[in-house]
Amino acid sequence: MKVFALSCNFRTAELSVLERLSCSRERLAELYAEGAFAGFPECAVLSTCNRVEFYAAGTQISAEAVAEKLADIFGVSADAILANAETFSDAAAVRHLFEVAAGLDSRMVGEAEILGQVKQAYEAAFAAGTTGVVLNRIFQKSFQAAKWARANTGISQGQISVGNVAVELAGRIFGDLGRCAVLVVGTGEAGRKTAQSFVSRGAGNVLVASRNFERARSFAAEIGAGAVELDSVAARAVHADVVVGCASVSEPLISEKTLRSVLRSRGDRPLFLIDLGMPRNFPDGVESDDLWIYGLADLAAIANENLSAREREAALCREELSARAARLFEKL
Amino acid sequence: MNEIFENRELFACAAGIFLAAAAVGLFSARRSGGNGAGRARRVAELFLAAAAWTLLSCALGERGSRGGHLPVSNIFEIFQALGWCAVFSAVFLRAVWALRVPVFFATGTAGLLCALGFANVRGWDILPVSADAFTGTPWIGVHAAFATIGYACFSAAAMVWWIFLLQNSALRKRRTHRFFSRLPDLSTLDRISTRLCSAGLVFFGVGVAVGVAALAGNFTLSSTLAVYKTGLSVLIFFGFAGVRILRGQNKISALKFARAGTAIFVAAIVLLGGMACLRDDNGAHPAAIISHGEKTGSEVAK
Repeated sequence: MKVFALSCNFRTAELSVLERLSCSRERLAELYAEGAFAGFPECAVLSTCNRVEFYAAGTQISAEAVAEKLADIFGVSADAILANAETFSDAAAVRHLFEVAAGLDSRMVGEAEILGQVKQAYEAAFAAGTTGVVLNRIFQKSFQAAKWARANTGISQGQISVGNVAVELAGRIFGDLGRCAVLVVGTGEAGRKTAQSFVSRGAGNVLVASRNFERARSFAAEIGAGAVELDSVAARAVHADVVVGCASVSEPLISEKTLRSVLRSRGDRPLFLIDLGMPRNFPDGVESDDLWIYGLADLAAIANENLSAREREAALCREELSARAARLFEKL
Repeated sequence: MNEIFENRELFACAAGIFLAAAAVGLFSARRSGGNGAGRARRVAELFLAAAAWTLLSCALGERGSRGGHLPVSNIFEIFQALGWCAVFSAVFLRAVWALRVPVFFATGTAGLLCALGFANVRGWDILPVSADAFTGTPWIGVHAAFATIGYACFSAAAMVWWIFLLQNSALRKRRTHRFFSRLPDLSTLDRISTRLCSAGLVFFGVGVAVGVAALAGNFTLSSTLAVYKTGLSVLIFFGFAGVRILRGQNKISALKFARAGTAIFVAAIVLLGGMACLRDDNGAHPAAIISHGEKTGSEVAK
C-alpha cells in the first residue's frame, strides 16, 4: 500500500499557480460528486489560501499520475504543477500531513487555524466517500499528532504578531481587558490589526480616531468599535487605559505637558501607550510608575523572539512527528 | 516537656522539602513548558509542596497539643507558623480571588521563613513563659495569636508584592519569557496586596493593642528589651498603616507601595528576629517581658 502527498504551497508555488489550483469547499464537493478523483482508491484534497494539498492511498500512485489528474481538473499543465509542488511518498507523506495539521508548515509556525481546515477537508472527503481505511487512519492520527504538538511543545506559545503582542502586554498590566478602554489613533494597517486584536480578545470599549472621520467610522463599524474625532485624543486619553498611536503625524499626538497632565488626572490608573507611528506618536521624555510606553521596535522584537522560540520548538516537534509517522506507516 | 523543644527534625524536614519544591518549580518555570518532562516537574513540585505543608502542619499540631498552647509562643514557632501561612495564603488567594501565585513563590517563601527560624534556634526556641508569671492572664496568648495572624497577612502581602515587583521589572525591561505571561497582572496584584495589608493591619493592630494594654496594665516592666520590642511592633504597625493610607489616597504609586511594603516586612522580620536573640539587663530572655510583684524576668527565665 502506498501513501502519496502532493503539496503546492506558499513556499513552493508561484501565486498564480496556487490561485488556479485552489478551490472553494462548494467546488470541491462538486468535484467529489462528479467523481473527478475516481482514478484513486482513496484521496482527499486540502485547499486553503496558502496551500493546495492532495493526499492519496493505493497500490500504484505516482507523482505524474496525480499531476495529470489535477491538470485535467484545474487547467494547469502537469509540468507546471510538478514544478510548483513538492511530493512525498509513504512515511514521508504521513509525516508531511502531521506537520501540516500541527501548523509546522504554516507561514506562522504553530498557527491553530490549519488544524480546523485539515479536519474540514477530511470530513468533506469522508462524506464524499473518497477516503478509505488508510486515509481515515492517517488523518485521525494527524489530529492526535497536532493535539500532542500543541499540548507538549511550545510551537503555539508566545504571540508573533505585533497586535497580539500588544494585547498580551496589556493583559499583563490590566488583567481583564473587558474593563479596559482602548483608543486607537490611525486607521492604517498596523492600527487596524491592533484594534482587531483588542476587539477579538474582549476589550470592553474600543474607540477609533482618524484624521478622516468617515474612515474611522467605517473601520469602527467593521469591528464593532466606536469612532471619535482626532482632536479629542488628548481628552479621551484621560479615560482610556490603552492608547495605540499609529497615525502619520509630524508632531506627537499628545505633547509632554499634556501627557503629564493626563497622568495627573488619571490618579493611580496605569496608562499603556503603544507607539506604532513613524515619526513617534507619543513623547518619550515622560517617566512615571504608572506609564508604560512600548514602541514598534519593542513589539516587533518581542514578536520575533517568540517566533524564534516557536521555531526552536518546531525543530523538536518535527523529530517526534517524524517518529510517529514512521511507526504509523509500519502498521498500515 | 523540654523534649518538644528539642525535637525539631520535622520542622527541619519541612523547611528542606519546601526549598526543594521551590527549586524544582523555579527550574521548571525557566524551562520551556508543555512537554512531558515539564509536566512531571510540575507534579513533583506540587507533591513536594503538599508533603512539606502536611509535615509542617503535623509538627505544629504536635507542638500545640503536647505543649498545651498555640504553637506561636516563641520566635522559632512564629517563623514556622508564618511559613505554614505562606502556603495557606497562596491557596486562599487562589480560591477567593482567583490569584494564581506561582507554587514556587509560596514554597520558596515558606521554606525561607521556616529556615530562618533555625537561624538562632537555641535562643529562639525556648519554653514559653508560663502565664502564671503574668498573674494568670491569657492576654499574652491573645496578643501572640493576633500578632501572628497579622504577620501572616503581611507575609501574604509581601509575597504578592514580590510578584508585583517581578512583573513590573519584567515589563520595564521588555522581558517576555512565557513565565511572566503566566504571572498575575499588575492591577490584580496591587488590589490583592492592598486588601492583605488592610487585613494585616486589623489583626496586627489588635495584637499590638492587646500587648501594649497588657504591659500598661497592672504590671511593671522589668525588661528594656520588652519595651523596645513593643515599641518596634508599634512602629511596624504605623509603618504599614502609613503606606496603606498613602496608597489609598493615591499619594504613592503601586510600585512604591510594593517596595515600601516589602521593605517594612523584611525590616520587621530582621529586627524582631534579631531582638529575640538578645537578652535583657537581668540576663532574662525577652520572652519574660514583664514581671509581677517581686518576680523578675531572670527568675522567670530560670
